[in-house]
Amino acid sequence: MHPETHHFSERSKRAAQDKDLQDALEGLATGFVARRKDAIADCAHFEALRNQGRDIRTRTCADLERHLLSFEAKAEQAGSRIHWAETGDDACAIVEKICRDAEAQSIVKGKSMVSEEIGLNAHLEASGYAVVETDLGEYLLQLRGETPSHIIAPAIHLSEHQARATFLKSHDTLNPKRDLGTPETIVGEARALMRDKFLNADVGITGANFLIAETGSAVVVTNEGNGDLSATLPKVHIIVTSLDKVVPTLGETSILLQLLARSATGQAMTAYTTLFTGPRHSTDLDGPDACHIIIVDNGRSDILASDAAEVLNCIRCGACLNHCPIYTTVGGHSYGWVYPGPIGAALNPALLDLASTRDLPDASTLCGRCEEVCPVKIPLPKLLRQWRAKDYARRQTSRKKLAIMAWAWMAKRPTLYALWASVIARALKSRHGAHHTVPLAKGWTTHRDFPASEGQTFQAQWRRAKKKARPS
Amino acid sequence: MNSRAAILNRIAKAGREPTTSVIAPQSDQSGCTHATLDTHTPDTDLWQRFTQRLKDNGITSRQCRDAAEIPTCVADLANITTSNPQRVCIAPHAMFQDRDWNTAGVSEMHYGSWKTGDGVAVSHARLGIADSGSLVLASGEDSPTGLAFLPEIHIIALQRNSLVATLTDAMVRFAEWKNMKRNSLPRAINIVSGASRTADIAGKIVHGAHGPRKLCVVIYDNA
Repeated sequence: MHPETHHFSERSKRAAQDKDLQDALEGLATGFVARRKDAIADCAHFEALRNQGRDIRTRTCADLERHLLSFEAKAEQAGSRIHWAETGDDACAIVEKICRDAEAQSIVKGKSMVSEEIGLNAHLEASGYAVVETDLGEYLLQLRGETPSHIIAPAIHLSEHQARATFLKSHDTLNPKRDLGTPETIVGEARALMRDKFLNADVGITGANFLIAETGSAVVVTNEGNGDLSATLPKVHIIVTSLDKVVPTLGETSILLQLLARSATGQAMTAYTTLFTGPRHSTDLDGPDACHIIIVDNGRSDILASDAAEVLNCIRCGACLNHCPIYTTVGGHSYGWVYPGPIGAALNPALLDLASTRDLPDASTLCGRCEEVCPVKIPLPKLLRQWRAKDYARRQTSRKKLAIMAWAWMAKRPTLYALWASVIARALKSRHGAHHTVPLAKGWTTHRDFPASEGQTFQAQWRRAKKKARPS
Repeated sequence: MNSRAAILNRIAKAGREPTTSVIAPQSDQSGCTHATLDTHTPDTDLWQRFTQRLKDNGITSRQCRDAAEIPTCVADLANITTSNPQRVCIAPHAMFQDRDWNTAGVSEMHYGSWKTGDGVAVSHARLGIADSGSLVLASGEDSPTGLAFLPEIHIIALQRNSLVATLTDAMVRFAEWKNMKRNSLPRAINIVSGASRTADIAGKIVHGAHGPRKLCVVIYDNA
């Protein structure tokens, strides 16, 4: 997915005026936010789980090499083939080669944010493969040529009417007068079409929510069951994931899973949570003959060494998006890349570059809701402030730097500062009460008048008033 | 330098020191770490909680005295009658073999993997999880994974003594399920907590997205 993060300002203005989008975003409060609240009220030890979750993620990232090596050894022992990809392009090339070797005609794919990040679909399609997204939301976006606008609900920006119109337009071999009047009929049509795709696919691609070092397993969480069908029916299963997903043990994974489902959809557990460990055993009745796991770096090992490393603790639940006053006003597409909302604003400058993403850390009121709801307590406001400070330092021109240095020099000398201030106060005095233009203050006066000064500094006025009041 | 070495080298160079945990998970003898949280409840409450959670998850449950009654429960749950015959795919699990399916009204049935046209599938769970109302299935010669995802109605049998309190209790047990020959877990361990669902059309929850529209559990006493 090509980043367009530098268009945040224009896109967010358009999004705020888009009625369909605003209606869709209103549903977040009654949907995800309310359901999460209920699920947490029903889980007395949720705060203790959060502390454990933060702890597990922090410790794992601190000892990542060991856990990755352990995962690799166990996964290979289980018969999986491990591939390491330094960049997104490397990962795409590996997937393409596996598809070529498998003589794949058709590919089914489960939802994976890493595959969006590396532009996997575009790469495979350019290489001549037919790839079908099987998550209903992702499928709608694929038909519409759009990108996800939410980490767990990719088509949250679409209305029922837009979904219906998309199916009527795209499924043009079906009766145009068929009944698609309800969400149930729309889902039913997708189910029937997709079933054929699943049964005839040669390769299934999924992401992974977690990789378990203790057993070499990949965990895939879905409500639709599409990830499981993609991983079970085709003869080759490819897991595209990133190196930050590793968790040391089964027990620790259980803690993160309890946090994930409650924070994401407000469920105690998602409908389907599956641990995949290697290809089918000789006595198994189904399952793929081969299992490939592609561990993507794409900049993460550099983030690990930076002061933004905590951003790698994220378990991609999307709770920070649902609770962010900015995200819920401008939607995910305004952010211009795969990861929107507070986590995107903190992660994208690290994965891309600060120059093209500089508006994203500013897209926050720093109200702190994101940190309050984060299941692993990532200090998102702190990370956003860090990016703001870096961007500020980066953007200072030598002229601006000189001006600030001059001001600092003068501010440390009270007499000189008072003299300078009195000159300015006199210069800004006006009979009209305001100035339409002021030198060097165009940014202010373009939109409003600059108030005129009283002709004296506050301190001078204070001294004068005191003198007057003193009894003679 | 190949990709693997380059990536691992960069991670090693990041030089982040392992930190001491705030709430230290405890390791048992198997080297398996599990939560220190006291989420266990007395056994008497366990069944009550489990059945309540099944209900919350939209899972219909039936209880029967012994495994011989499973076919009748299956027919009842799937509403199989002479006017509503359905082909049932049954996992080749020992508990389902040599049962009188025909008398129970399940006349069209076969053991093995799902085939096109099978409306109902019956699997056997390894564990039930009370806290979340979940059933744990593990792939193997008596348990094809596809049964959980391809039929319209999925019915899971659970033996009464296979209930654990929490997800952590369940997951730390997975380590014991290693296949001796390959020394690895079953290919797929499915933790199923409801029928297939989606909220991708305007946030409305619809069941039967790709997998079963209906999920049922038959809880039976020890045979």
